[in-house]
Amino acid sequence: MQDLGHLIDQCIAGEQKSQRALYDYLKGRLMGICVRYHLNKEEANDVFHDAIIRIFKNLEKAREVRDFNAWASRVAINVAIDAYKKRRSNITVSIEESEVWQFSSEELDAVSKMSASEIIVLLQKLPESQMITFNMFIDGYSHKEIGERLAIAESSSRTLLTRAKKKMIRLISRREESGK
Amino acid sequence: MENSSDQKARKVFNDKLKGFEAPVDGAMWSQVQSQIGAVSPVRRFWKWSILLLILLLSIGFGSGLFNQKAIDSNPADDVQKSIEPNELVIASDTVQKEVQESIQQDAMSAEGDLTQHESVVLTERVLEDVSKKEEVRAQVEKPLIERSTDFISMTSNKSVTSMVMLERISPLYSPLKIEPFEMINQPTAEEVKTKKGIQLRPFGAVTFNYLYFQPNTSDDIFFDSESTANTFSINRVGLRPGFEVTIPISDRLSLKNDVYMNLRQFRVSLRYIENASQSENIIFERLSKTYSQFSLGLVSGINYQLMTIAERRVDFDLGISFERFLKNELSDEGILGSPNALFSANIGLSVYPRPASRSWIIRPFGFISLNSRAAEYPVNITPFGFGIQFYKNR
Repeated sequence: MQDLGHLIDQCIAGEQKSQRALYDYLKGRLMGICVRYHLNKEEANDVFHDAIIRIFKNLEKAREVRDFNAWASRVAINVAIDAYKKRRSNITVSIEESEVWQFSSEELDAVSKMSASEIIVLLQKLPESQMITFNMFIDGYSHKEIGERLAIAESSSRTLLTRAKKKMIRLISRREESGK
Repeated sequence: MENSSDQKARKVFNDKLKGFEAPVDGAMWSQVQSQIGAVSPVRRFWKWSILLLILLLSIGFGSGLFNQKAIDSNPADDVQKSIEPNELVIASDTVQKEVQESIQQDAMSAEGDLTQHESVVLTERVLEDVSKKEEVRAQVEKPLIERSTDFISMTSNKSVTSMVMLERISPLYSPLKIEPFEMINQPTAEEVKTKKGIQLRPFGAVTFNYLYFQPNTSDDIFFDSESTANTFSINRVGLRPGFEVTIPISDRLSLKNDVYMNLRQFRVSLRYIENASQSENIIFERLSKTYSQFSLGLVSGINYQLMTIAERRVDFDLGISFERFLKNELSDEGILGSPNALFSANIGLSVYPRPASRSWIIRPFGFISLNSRAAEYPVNITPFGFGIQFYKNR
């Protein structure tokens, strides 16, 4: 962490080598987030580009944060959400479902045996609004926060997450069946 | 509230995805590098223009007050005139003569054979002579020094430094070397006055042209700009030849009117998605092209003689230009909007050569369009830029 702090200071001072080093340090993980939040590679590239620029331009703030990696990831997630919101001005969710869907322990075991890439392939099969909501759920956002960030009601967030879980459970089950 | 099943699911997914890394295109770094620390060109342009303007106006205002005060009434002129160079030469000669006589006497005394008593008497006489010489010198120099000191204090509000004045006066203290007092050359009111009469002169200018994009938020087209051309790319260069007519209003103010032809280029690099809210898979369409425009223009404004730096006159001007396009490639582009006539604000600074020189007047200037933000286009563009104008000094 001491080295990372020094690297950040050098980046703020404008040293190109340090900027490149910090970029190399962050790029894989940030692109992972961008791929997770977006449907295609080109869009993920755009979000990654904007996120990395935002991180470099706000490095002064990064000095104050305790966990730089978590901060950088949160910046990338915010940029990804903003990009999604920019494209989708209104998210309309019809709330007709009262059914509650939960992952069973077998399904969670199956998930834990999958690779990250396999999980992302499943996530990308969800409709975009559900995929974003599910990703935000994974990243620790509450329904209230999801509602605020996506400019939807808290109840809509719950509905979207329920639908996402329902579809994920089906996808996992189908995958397990085809595997057997 | 979140149930334990949700917490468990979140943990499983998070553990799997937390460390997930995806490959990044190698060319991405060069794009990122070019934008780290970059500021919007429009903001940069205005920031530097305003700072420059404030600086110049401050200097010009201060300098104007300073010069005006010196020209209007300067009692030091009378004192300076009252100390005639001849007086200083006479003073110098008197002191010099005294010293030479003393040296001669000393030499003669040293040549003869002297008794101890004679030596004592001679020493006393020499000392007496020295004190006498000092008295004479003090009598001659005192009024001159006093008047010179008065002159320094009264000239303190003129644009000469005390150091220069002291250098001029210092020979007074040297009995052997003295030079006649010289008048300090000051630009007179006549010299700083603008040359009367209407002036017509041709000029040429090189410009660098940029576009500020402002997407229309009421439509369903999503825009994203790309920086592909360098700030000083050849794709942004323009030429502006023309004639300038200057009509004096007062000593410092004049009306400035330019008639010119303007050939300029813009580099447009953006990507966009039509029907952005309805499309699920996003594919950007790219627009990357260099557009040229040719127009006839007229600038009308005021020119203010700001200050004189090292005999170089510096003028500040502000004006509004009107341009009518004879050729406008931007108007044929459906996505972008450009009117067929353009109003722009112009700001400039003319730096003249020294009065004796017949070289070029250089005028750096900036401009920004005022009427290009038409609401009917998906993206509104505001042309802006800067350039350097050259006139032949006559």
